[in-house]
Amino acid sequence: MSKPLMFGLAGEMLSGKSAAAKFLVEHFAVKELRMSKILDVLDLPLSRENQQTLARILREQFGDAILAKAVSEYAAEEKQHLFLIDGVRKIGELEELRKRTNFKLIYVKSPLEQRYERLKSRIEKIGEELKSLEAFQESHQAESEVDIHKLESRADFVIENTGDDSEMHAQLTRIFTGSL
Amino acid sequence: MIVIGIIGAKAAGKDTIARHIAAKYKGNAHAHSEVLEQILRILKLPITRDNAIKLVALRKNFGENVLANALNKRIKNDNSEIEILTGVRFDSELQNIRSYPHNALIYIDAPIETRYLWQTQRKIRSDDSTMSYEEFVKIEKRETEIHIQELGAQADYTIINEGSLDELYAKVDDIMQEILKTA
Repeated sequence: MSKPLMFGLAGEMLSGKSAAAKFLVEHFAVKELRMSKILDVLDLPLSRENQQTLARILREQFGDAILAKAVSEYAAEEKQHLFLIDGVRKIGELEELRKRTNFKLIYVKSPLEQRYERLKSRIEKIGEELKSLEAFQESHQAESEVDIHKLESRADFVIENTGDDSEMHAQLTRIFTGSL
Repeated sequence: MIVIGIIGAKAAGKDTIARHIAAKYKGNAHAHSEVLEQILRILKLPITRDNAIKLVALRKNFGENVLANALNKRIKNDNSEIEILTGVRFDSELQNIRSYPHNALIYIDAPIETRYLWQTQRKIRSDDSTMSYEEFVKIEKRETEIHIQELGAQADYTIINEGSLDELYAKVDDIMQEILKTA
């Protein structure tokens, strides 16, 4: 049997990965594989923060490839052939996904200032304190973020998200139809 | 609702008495480890003690009550008069049981040689039957196991499981009479 086609999204904080994921899921019937069931078992809210914390714990405890292995197995079990995972962060993860699926890594790029603007509007929604642009820039040095830059050169596609949704959607549509 | 917590070292007979209470007194039994086991299944990982212990890291990040809360959600969904929770390993789990207005704690123990023999005869986890005696003894020193005796000292009832199965059930029935009397 041929390997399932799986798209993966990577990119810096607030580059627009989730927006890209949402577009692919809604327009092309791509199935997003998530570990949200675990948060449900733990009776924890399905927040972005909890999802990231959970993914970090699991990688620390079981190795970088743990989530990649699990989603690949789910993909192999299902009859359908189009999958997506949001938030590829580690080289080990990418290698695992390439081994087990027909994997297409999409790296989403967006200028620092625009990502900071998105942070502002997200923060306003949840009422937290906004960190300075410098502190935001600083947080990219965190261990969890360092690997992400290495993924850019290994990506199958790099897209620019400059805030124009229709432009990003057009890029994603080209990637999707070209991958089939 | 009565919540009965069962404390005991591995293979002491916790699940045996939980099943007995559930069957005879129409209760629902849960193991504290079942939340971790379900997560391992979602992750497609083998259900081993080592893997379960790794998941204890969830407590550090999501708070020490995270597993107890997950269990409370299940209890609530059961809608049952008697709930039996086996495998109390942390003080937070014990306190959680005590937080129910009507609760009881049973400590069950058995000699280590006997427990080793029992464990090798069962297959709850994939590493159960292949474990050496030395390994079995060593595991008792782990973070998840070292508090069991202290927790046992706080129990309302203690059972030494060194006779036949019928004798064990008779002891449990006596305790259940006491527990139900106070209901």
